[in-house]
Amino acid sequence: MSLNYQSLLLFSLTVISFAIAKIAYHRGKNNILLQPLLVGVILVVFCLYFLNIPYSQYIDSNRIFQWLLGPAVVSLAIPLYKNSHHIRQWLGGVLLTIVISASLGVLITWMISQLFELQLNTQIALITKSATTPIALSINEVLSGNKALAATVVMFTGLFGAMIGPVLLTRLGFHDHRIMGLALGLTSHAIGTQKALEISPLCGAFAAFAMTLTGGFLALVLPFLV
Amino acid sequence: MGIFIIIGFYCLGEFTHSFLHLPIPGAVIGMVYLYLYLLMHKGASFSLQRSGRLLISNLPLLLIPSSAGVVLCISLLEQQGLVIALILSTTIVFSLILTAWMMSRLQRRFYHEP
Repeated sequence: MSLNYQSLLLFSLTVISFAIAKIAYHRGKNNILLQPLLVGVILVVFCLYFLNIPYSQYIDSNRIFQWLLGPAVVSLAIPLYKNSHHIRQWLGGVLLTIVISASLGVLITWMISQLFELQLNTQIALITKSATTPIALSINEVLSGNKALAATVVMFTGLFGAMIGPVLLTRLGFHDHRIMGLALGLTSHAIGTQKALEISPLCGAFAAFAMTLTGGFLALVLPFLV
Repeated sequence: MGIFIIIGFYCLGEFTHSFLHLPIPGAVIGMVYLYLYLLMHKGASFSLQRSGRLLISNLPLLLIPSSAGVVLCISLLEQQGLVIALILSTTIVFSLILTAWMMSRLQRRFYHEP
């Protein structure tokens, strides 16, 4: 009986942390550093640390969320379909850019990680950095990469790219919102898309499209390369 | 109703993944199936859209348990965190610039916009 009670408590820990994180995000005027995922994870990690609960016990009570990531990835097809009419005019160019830029991104990341002689499962976590987290996790699952590290790496990529992207690209003279959206979604997936939506709806549509296709492309190609 | 379509395609994707021994994640195969379904039906029904939005807008909640796994790699991050952050920052800047540069070249070349 006490076991069930504890599972329920650990399950509620996730839900309550998420609720607090969401409120903080709205109160903080959608500041990018108050990302609900980031704040939620920090709250959970602190609670586990102070209550001295091992991660394995926590995750056992939260399997349902991990399972639901599957259907969540599947439903990414809906916004992808809805956004495709914005892209139609540029479709060929957008697809070519995604394929080449995502491939070169993987290649460069892999080459630098080779240089530093990182472990293989760390390397796998790093090359999935531009896939949206649920897709990155499933790629790491298939390739036995470091899933725990991948989640952190992907979040860092999202935050860093979304923070510097708009400033960097404007400085370099890329003012077109479609190009900005494409770069943000391709590099920084969901957090980049959120930033792009703040710039303009068109920018957001391009980012959402690029995010899903980049994730899908990496998932289709990486398993055959590693 | 919509949620059953989504879960159905997910199961079908996982089934394809394990039955055909494809290394591609089952969820991504399921996403391709749902996309093809939307193409055939020329759009998503209201309940399908609502279920999809429910899942996607609560993604951070679904991701919290997996992401809290960072506690398992604290020693790795202590040893190699700086190198990892360096690799990530370099490649993020590279990817942003390459994407924007390439798309703007293609735009000028093929889409006849200034």
